[in-house]
Amino acid sequence: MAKQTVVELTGVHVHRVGRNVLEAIDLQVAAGEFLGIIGPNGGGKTTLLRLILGLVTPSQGRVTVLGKPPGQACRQVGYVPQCFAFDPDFPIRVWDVVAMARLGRRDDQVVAGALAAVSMLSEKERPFAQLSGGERQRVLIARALATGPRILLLDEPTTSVDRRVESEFYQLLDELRASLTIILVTHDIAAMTAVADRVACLNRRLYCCEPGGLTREILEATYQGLPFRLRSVRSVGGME
Amino acid sequence: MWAHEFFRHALLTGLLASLACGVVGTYVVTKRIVFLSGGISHAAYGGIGLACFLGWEPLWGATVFAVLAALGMGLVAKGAGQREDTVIGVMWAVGMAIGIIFLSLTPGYSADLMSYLFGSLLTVPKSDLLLMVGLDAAILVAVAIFFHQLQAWAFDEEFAGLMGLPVRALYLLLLGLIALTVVITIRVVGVILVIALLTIPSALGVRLGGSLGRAMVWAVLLGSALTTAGLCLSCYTNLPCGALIILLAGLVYLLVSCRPASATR
Repeated sequence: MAKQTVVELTGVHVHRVGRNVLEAIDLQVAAGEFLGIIGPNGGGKTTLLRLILGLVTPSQGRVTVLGKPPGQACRQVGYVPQCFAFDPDFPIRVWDVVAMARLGRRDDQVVAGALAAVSMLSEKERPFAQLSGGERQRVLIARALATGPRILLLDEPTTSVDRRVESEFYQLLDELRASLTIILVTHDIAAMTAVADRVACLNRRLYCCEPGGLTREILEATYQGLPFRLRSVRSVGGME
Repeated sequence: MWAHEFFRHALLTGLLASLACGVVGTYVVTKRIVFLSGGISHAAYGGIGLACFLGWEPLWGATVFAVLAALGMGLVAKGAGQREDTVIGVMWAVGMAIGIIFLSLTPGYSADLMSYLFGSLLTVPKSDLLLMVGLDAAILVAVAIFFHQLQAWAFDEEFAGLMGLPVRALYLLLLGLIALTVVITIRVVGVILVIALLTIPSALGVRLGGSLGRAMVWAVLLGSALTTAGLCLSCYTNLPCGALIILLAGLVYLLVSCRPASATR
């Protein structure tokens, strides 16, 4: 039996300040799928995530999430933003960051469970500002998990972390994929292709393929002369 | 000193202002809207001028003007696609200009100008004190009710919106609370120096407290200590109390800032 489509974009264009950010995007993501999105800076990766969250409205085309308009489904979508989007000095405890996902519901068990899932429950009283980059990412993932999501969106989550933390992070995603649909935006092509079911190459236009079908020609066409990052534990299409 | 009513009023006024500034100022510092708070405090001067001209209580005029200016700044800056800093700058200057015009039109007016610009902690009447108690109570109740929502909004506005929080309403609520805090603080340090008492103790509190609640407690304690010390120093030196409080606060901020962040947490 075919899996349910949880995210669907049909003929989506996003036009902003005199330029097309996204053009003619058609994308279907099935329940339980792990989709990795790669592409150069300014290629529209974050805009695509924000379309799914309902934070950006398409100039043309249609977006549905769990069969509903994105704005109505956003409480079932966990979102892990780029870590440097936060004020590093904000005085807030780890517990309070995660509890934001349960505001008005006072569900301490869910908060504790989400922290335990990312091995951060013992750090719940620590100030968020004192955590390392990797620990912050874990807390933000816990916050996304605490919303009780069916879909998890991650925007360049390994940008500011070292190789060891990055490796642990992908291990964590591998554990989470059993119960979630995951859409991951990253610049680390090789690490992503090791775990993703499908790769979306995005530079205003979208091209999807299996991880094994990702060739240097496809990457060069996507990045259009810009450098791309090929380093990880696994080779991509025989390129390493 | 304690035997004098004016001193007791002054001390109580300083503590009430420290309470409001410590609580609301922590949001101001963490949300990085210090300049906006300065705009609200200077716009309040228009209300003081208008109230003096009409023969009303100046602080009532300041309350109405500060709240309207705060909401106006918030609505225009976020809703009309205007540049926020430009809107703040315009209301900052226009509020002051309205105040100066009305005060110049007020017959017999002259002495109060300096007291509202730079504070007059030693001449606080009982009516102003009662108004401040009421405003402080309103601020504390509002923050107690919306603490977690305001914290989520201040930390990550986008996520708060995704969780269904009314981010625009929370922004306007905070601006309203800033306006009330400004009114309370005008008597202590005046519209020109409000911004310092609103931000310095809170900035120190943010460095010392590991959570927003603890940062507020630190800010209130530090603000109370600084206003009390400034008041006592003013009595002995016969120097302007508001300016002494700000100088002390600035000195403490400088000393704490010179220490590495790890040493203060």
